[in-house]
Amino acid sequence: MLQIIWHSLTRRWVQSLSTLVAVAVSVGILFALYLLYLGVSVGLGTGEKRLGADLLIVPAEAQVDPETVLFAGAPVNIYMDGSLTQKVAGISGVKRVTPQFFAQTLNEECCSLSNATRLIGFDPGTDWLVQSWVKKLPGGSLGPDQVLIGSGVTGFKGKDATILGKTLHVAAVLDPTGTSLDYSILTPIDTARSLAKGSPYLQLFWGKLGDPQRLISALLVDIDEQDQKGDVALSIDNLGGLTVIQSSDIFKNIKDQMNVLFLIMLGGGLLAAVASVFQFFARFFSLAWDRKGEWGLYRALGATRRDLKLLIAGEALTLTLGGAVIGFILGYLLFTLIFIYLQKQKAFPFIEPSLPGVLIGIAAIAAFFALLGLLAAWLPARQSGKIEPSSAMALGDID
Amino acid sequence: MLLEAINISKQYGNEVVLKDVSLGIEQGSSLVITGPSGSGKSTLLSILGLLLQPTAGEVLFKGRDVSGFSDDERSRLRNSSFGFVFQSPQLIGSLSVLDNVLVPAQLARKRSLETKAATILKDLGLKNRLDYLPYQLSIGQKRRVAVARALLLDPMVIFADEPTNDLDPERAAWIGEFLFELPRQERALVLVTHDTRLAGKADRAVQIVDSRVLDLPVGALKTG
Repeated sequence: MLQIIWHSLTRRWVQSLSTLVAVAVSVGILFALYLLYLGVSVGLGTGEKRLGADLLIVPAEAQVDPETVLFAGAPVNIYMDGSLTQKVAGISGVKRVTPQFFAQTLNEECCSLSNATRLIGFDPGTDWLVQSWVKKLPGGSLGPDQVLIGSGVTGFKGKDATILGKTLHVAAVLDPTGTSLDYSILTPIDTARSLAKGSPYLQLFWGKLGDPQRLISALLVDIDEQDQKGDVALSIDNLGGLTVIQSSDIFKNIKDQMNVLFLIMLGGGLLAAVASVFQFFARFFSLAWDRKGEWGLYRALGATRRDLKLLIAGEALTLTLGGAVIGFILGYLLFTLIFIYLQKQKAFPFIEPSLPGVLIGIAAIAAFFALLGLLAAWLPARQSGKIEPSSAMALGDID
Repeated sequence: MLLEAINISKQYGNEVVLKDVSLGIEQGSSLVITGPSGSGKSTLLSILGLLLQPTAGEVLFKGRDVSGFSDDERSRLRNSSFGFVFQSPQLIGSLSVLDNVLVPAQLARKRSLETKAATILKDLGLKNRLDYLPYQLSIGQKRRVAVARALLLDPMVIFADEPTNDLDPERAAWIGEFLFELPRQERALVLVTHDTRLAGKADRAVQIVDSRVLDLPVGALKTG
């Protein structure tokens, strides 16, 4: 039976190939969209949860996008006076404040990375973001010669990392967060400052801004009441020389931008899917008329009505599932290309989709197209049930 | 009796094609059905071959009434025990000669019959045509491929509907010789033909006249 299905598809190879390609394109677009949507939505959710700060404060003169600070691992050498920590903490409505100090590794220094990696110094005394991991470490703290490695920092080998000429011990690799933490190396703030102080790449900053021991790069702020966020942000802004970023706004902006992208892709995917569905139905509808002779011969030679239905359904499933398999491969390639392109354009939270998530998507898309295939095969299968074996007596040769 | 028709009638609307037809064929024997065009020869062959249901009457195969079989049972019986050579060769144009012969085996979900199919084709003089497509064959070669397809699953009865139609006398004689060899292999042959020379080779010949069957004197046919 499988041989007959195979012969039937291969001897009409142009129609089979065009149907296969149509299904593959539709599946590819939908699968790429699904992977992107899954990665971004999980990234957004996890990022929002993990960021755990209501406000992010950076120097006003910093020429960086908030998204770059929050979601990208590229170094951002921005600095402001450390005394701002106390000033911000003193503002009414501020629940807690913690400073961070950004430095950077040298190119290809610790890891097999082509670019320098952001080094984030956090304050063990006030931090509440990195502490959830630090508490799990033996001893419950991160020593001055220890680092935490973000889940997205690739190429890390062994238990030691040489950063800016100093060998540091890797205490743990963090879980994915969908934020810049995934592409950063974290260490206590004093360690980061002392490493940065000796870095020849950063001497320009210290000459201009003074001793890095007095500097910070960003302040993370939690407030008492969410509905006071605007007022607190305004009060901080009034201190002067600062940019106050409301993290929820950033996530909302990214969600909005991504939704537009997803809608465009979904539109394209659905158009391709509708086109392939039409093609599929047209192909199988014409079968009902074109292949009566062949089916009559099969009936005369001993095929049951069920055999004919199996043949037709088998052809439909072979085309849809074959197209789907090619589509999944194409979809993954498309997803990779779009992801690389988007990353170049804009920083956004993203977590690599989990295997169960990917498998669920594959199963759902494959089931959807298999169902379409079976629906398209329904009419010719029904028609084939009416073909009498005696019809073979009156036939000529069969194409 | 291997195959028997008892009081078979067939009617299309008000038109009576066959009326109370009874005949039988033994294993290893041949039966020729003749008659003018439109007399109901092919209809009778279709009923005997379980391709068509009679309006009334019974068809017995090995003494068992098979006319009441379900459609699936009749299909399986056709596949396992009957072979058909239709008026037109009915080859699938895009399949090779060998693949055309293998179609009944594929429907029966039987594998590994390629060698047997090739042997039958060789016996029919088509050894060098296995990979040919039907359009590359002459009408005589196409008919031989159709005969090979009918023989692949070792059927007990071969039904042939005017198998020498459109063939020149030499090729018609060759096909006739081959088909009439089959009863010697313990198969039964039911043949519809206008060709009196072919009919003369049969163990029994009948003619359909006015929807009924009349026995013909085979000896008279042999002498022409």
